[in-house]
Amino acid sequence: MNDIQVIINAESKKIPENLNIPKLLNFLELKDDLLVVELNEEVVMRADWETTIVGEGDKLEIVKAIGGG
Amino acid sequence: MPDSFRIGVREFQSRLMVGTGKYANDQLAINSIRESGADIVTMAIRRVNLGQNKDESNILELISPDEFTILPNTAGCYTADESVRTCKLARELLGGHSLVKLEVIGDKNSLLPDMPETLKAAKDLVKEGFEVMVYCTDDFDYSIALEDAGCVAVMPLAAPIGSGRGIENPQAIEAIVKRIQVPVIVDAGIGTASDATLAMELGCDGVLLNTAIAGAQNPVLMAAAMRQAVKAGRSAYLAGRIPKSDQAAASSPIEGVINS
Repeated sequence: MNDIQVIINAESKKIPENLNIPKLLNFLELKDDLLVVELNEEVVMRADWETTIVGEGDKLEIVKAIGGG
Repeated sequence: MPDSFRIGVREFQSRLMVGTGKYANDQLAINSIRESGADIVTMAIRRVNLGQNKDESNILELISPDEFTILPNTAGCYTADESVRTCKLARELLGGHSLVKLEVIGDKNSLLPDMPETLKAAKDLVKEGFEVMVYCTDDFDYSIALEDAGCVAVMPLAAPIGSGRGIENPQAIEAIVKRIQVPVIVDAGIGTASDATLAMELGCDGVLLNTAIAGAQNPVLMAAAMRQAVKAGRSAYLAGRIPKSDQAAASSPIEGVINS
């Protein structure tokens, strides 16, 4: 299986190809609840996580809520 | 006497809204927030740390949407586009929830809002179906423009964020309160209980604060003080204060004083 190059939270990363969002989060060792994913500046709705495959050069943001005012 | 108020489509009992930042630890945060009696609590949206501990706690487990109305903010955003993206992420994170606190900062040192960019963001967010509570300066014309743009609450600052200086321009706040139909909430700059009381006495619908509680030496006790302060100020406003006078006026009757 080949690796692809992506940018996640402004960090350049090599990840396996053909990962959907749950598999990506698993690869990154992130719990998949209470966070949200943006792919190329568009929010990925949770209902679309299974069918959204991350591709070469994609830019992802993975965010959560934290304390703030 | 029940004294609930409405922001957008939601009804709230508490007129004190609190932030969740800057607490020394999680337990102190939840204890203080519960003591404040707040219904609405603000949170920020930030990148996860890649390589974080998988068992790291998440603030939404501690401060649950089942117990509070979560108000995600756009703190740290400098442009309308960034803040719209942040709100869309928050909406998905919170299961379609559309109430947001818009905050577009112009300068990283003063943390004062960039009002032209804030207005642009407000218009974009309203178009996207968000209910926008907007952090703004105490500028009268911008407050009107933000209400006209469809914001569900206008939230002028008392003083710069985290400064604790209290209400620096009460006349400006009062002018906004008199003109604006949607709730006016003083947001940022509150230092102590009397500042919150003054905001309510001026006729504000609520107060939003974070550092004044989280940074106090005893945050839980300050949370209680703020809860009482907001209630006291609201009651005083509803009761209608006496006019100020240049003259003294005796409280006891003059008639019947001995030796007269």
